[in-house]
Amino acid sequence: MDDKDTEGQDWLGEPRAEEGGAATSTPQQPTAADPQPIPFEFRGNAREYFKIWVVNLALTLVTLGIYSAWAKVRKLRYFYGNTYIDGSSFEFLGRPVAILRGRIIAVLAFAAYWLAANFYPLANLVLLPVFALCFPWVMVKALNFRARNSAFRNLTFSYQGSYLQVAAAYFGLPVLVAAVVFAIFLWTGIPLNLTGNSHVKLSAEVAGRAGMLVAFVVLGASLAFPYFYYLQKRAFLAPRKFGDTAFSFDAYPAAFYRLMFRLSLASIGAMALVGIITAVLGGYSKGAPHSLPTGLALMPVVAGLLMVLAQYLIYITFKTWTRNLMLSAVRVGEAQLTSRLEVGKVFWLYVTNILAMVCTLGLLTPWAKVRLMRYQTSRTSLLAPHGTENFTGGPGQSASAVGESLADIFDLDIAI
Amino acid sequence: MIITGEFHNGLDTRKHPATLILGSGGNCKVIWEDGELNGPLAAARISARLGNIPRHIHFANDAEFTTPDNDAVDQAVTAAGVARNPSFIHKLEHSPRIAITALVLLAVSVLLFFQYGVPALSQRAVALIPPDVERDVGLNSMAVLDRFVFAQSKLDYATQDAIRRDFYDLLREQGYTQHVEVLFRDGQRIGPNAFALPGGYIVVTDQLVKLADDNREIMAVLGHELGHIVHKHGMRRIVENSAIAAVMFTLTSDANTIMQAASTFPVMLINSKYSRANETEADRYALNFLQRAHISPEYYATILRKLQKVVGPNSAPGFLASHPATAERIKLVEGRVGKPQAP
Repeated sequence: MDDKDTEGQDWLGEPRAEEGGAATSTPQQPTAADPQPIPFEFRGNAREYFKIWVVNLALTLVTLGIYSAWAKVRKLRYFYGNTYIDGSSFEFLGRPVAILRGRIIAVLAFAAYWLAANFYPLANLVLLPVFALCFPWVMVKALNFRARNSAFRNLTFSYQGSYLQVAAAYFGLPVLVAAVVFAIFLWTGIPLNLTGNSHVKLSAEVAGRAGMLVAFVVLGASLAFPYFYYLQKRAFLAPRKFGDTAFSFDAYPAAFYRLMFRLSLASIGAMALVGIITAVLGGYSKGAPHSLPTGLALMPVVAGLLMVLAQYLIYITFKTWTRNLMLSAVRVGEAQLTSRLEVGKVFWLYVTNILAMVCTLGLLTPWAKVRLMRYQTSRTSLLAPHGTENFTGGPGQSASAVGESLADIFDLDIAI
Repeated sequence: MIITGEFHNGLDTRKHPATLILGSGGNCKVIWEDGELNGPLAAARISARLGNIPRHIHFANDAEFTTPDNDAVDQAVTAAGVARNPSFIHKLEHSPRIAITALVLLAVSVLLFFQYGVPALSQRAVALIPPDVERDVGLNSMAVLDRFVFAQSKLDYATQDAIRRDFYDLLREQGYTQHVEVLFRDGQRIGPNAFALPGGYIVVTDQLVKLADDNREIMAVLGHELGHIVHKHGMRRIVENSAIAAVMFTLTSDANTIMQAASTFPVMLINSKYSRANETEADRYALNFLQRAHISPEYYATILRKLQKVVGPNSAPGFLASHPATAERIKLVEGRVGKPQAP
């Protein structure tokens, strides 16, 4: 069940016949005991959001960036408030001051890094590890801030991920790779060249051995990657609650391995296709060099463009598949979330959005955003056996209670 | 005054169709199928109007009343005397005229900022940097360049010394007192070139020295690099790059990563514009330097022509190039060649 929605489409996004997915319409007549998925809906509109966007951007610039915290709250409120399910929309409750505080901290941290990088590069040897150690803590804080300030029908969400869970998901793989590399170098006696002073000439035999080991480590890291990617998604989604109903994350690492495997096949296919097209075009223009002077000159451009498009398509495929897999694994109590984005449609939206934004120097950014949001929302639904009206919350979990308690001093919201 | 909407008790997600009735004295009453709630509207927390999203009125006892009827809520808020202008920001965001004004303001201020603001800002900022720090930056850059780009100079000591002595003599004659140090390195892949680093360090590659037939040609190049040092171009680039990045980040914070990546193109444009301005400034400085040293600008034109022959004409298109087209630079220099020298 972990993988059903991505299996329901081939890699170009053409929907295949559904194979008994729980969230899709079954051939049988729907009965009262057979609940239908409730679709999400985005009601924002590009013209309205354009005005909001441009006024907030101007206010941000005029106030030298300080208004950006207020602008962010308005942007989030706009998107939450226009996302509906079963006749009700979400609400973002975050206070701009908390976001401003988060931004000031982020700016100070960045300034420290900038000064160090430009004036005293050695200081970053201390600074960067400190940042890395803080990262999981900041992430937990930010996710909790966002969740606590999100409400639906006057009930708020919460996030209770732990420092260790986040740290393991994000730093597990790099730490593991570093440890393995270090161990290998110690064990084999190949000089570990940390200083970059590459005047030491390795013998061909040692260099060959080192190359083999590097290949081995790269292969191992690629094999471990889907597991850690799964851990990241789980750390992001599982430790949440809506009111007092806990989320669960029902995917297994195997689903992420399957996804990566199919992605590799698709990438190889796409690259081979680009290669063939380029070769055919090349042969054609070589056969008639005098009749096709412009075609010949354009060959490298066409080939390059095809390559970029193919790589972007692979990236979009990865994003779409993981989003579907990840969201469709989320259960809120007994209610099952489903995301059924189609790769072809998402690719089309992204490519046309980029073209529109570049051609208008960014002016169509709000349009692009609303359009993407509308599609993503329309392809997300909730299968709730008890409907949307039976979630409960304890004291202090209402949206009305959030604003009253003076939020704790470590409230931060840093976009990650 | 009556507003229809929904009541949510804050304990579960049940929908209760409800009405809010605003009575006299700002007191309001929310009535739903099996209950009601009384209280002053002023004590409730009312979400600010934004686009067409529903309004939420949060009451003290964890309950809320929500309604899509934005106009009615605004009227109620004004009638109850809770706030005089309840939707001020919304009015700014709602008017097409203000949106267009904001757009024009945005475009003009960004252009003005890049045209005048950034250069003025970096000039001020650079003046505040103590010389010690500048020298540290220069030495750090030199260490990086030595590791990754340069090799030790293969020129013999006499050649190096002759160039250094000539240049330092000229500096002394011209009353130049700041710290300047000429360093020789093998440029390897970079070929004939010279660089000015913050703190007064000038690097000359062996290849450049070999390209010159006369030490006066090298003096011209050193004059150009001295121009970069006098105008603190190195430090200014650091400050300018950061200012551009900050503005671009603010402008594209709402867009996706691809758009942010696409915005590196205008950043490159702006960067290379500043860079070309710096090069022209350094060329002017070099010409004045040569004039004071009684060296004909023809030597500068000669070495530029030789460089053009070795490196080839600028490969990047004009608007992206870090330097003005070499042909244009030669023209600028030759413009001086005919002019009478200083007495």
